[in-house]
Amino acid sequence: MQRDTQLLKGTVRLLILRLLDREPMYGYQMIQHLKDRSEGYFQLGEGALYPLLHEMEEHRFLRAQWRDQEGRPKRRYYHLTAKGKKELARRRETWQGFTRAVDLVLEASHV
Amino acid sequence: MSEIDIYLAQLRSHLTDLDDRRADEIIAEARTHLESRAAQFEATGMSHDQATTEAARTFGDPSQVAQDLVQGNTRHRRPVALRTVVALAITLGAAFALTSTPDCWESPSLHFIADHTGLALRPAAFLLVLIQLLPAAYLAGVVGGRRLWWLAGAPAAFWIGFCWIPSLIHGNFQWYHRLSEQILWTLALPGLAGFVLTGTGWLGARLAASRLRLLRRAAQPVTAICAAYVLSVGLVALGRALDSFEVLSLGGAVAVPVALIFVAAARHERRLDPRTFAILFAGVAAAGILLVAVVALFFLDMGISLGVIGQYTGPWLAVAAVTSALGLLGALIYWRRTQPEPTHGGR
Repeated sequence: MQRDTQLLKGTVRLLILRLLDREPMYGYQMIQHLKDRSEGYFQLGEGALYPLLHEMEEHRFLRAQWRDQEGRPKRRYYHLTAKGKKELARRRETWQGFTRAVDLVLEASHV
Repeated sequence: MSEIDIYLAQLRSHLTDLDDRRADEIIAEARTHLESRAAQFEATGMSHDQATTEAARTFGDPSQVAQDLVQGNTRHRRPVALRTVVALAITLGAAFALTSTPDCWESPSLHFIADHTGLALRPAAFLLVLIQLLPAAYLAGVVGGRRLWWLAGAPAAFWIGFCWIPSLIHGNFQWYHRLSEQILWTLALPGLAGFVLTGTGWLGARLAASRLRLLRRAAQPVTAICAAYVLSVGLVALGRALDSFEVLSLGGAVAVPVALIFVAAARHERRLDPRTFAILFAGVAAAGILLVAVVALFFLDMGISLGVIGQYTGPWLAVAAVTSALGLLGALIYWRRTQPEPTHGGR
């Protein structure tokens, strides 16, 4: 399936917020989850993820915390903040409105 | 150094616009990512070297990633204007301190430059003066990465310091004319020394961040040779000035900043490996100990008792002792870092 990188860039913040709404995750884990849950469709550039995470952290949508792991190096886990939850709700609503409108046009019998 | 270390060094070298704490945190986070990724590649049957190379490649071009990271971390950017003001304040402050004595050009430790040092050593002597300011500039975050322009301006700042400040203090512009005659023709030489130092730093940084393994390997010896050159120039100048009492202040003036430079460089750049640092610090310690020994033997040979030696040279011996202690401490710290860390289990 052909991927549209511009479309992916526009939606990746929503996807990250949604992932973190379920549980705190570290960067590498997010990439794996995105890839697995989308059946390989979302293959985010690895170096591109962290600038996005840090930007969302600056906007206080996320909060990061280093966690010790037994026998392994520390990892930086990202949590969704209350502000992040509101942002997720806002982006989700925008996205749903957008896709609904696109579907309406695509499915219309008279164009 | 593994491919991951090299990649992270490249990434770190592009993060100089961020504050150190944030940049270090980013590198630590990227390291855990790259190591996890490399472990995943190894699990598919790749060799360790192949896996680390592939992990670094998939992370993306370090300069582009760093650029995005700097843009995404606006709250952690260094205030450039503040750093510039701090650097200028350090430069002018140091120049003022050196010139604030009434007979500024006749008595301070720079006296040897005019009377006891040959023409060929003048740029080297000015190089030493520049080096005295480097630690402060490093700690201010001005020198390093793309901010090396500051070095080129240092000789000019010193020229102003030595020519204009005494004139203003004493209200006697004869100072300016007399000093100008002495300094003007050497102005090009400290400038050249500044550019040589700047170029060396730039070259070392580029070599360490090169994609070619041969050049990366050359970075360590080149940087170590430059450091050895700085130390040897200091020792040569010291030797030329042996008939002067200023040798003592010069020893302190050279050895302590050199030790500080490498502490600061270790903190900011992280381009030299710990073993090289350990060797350099051991050299600094040895220089300090040698200085104490030479001074003590010199005065003992003149039939002066230890008590009198202590009375007259106490402060300088204390400087040498501090230098030695700093050097030994640095050598110990970096030598310990060369010891292999216990490996962790699977990821």
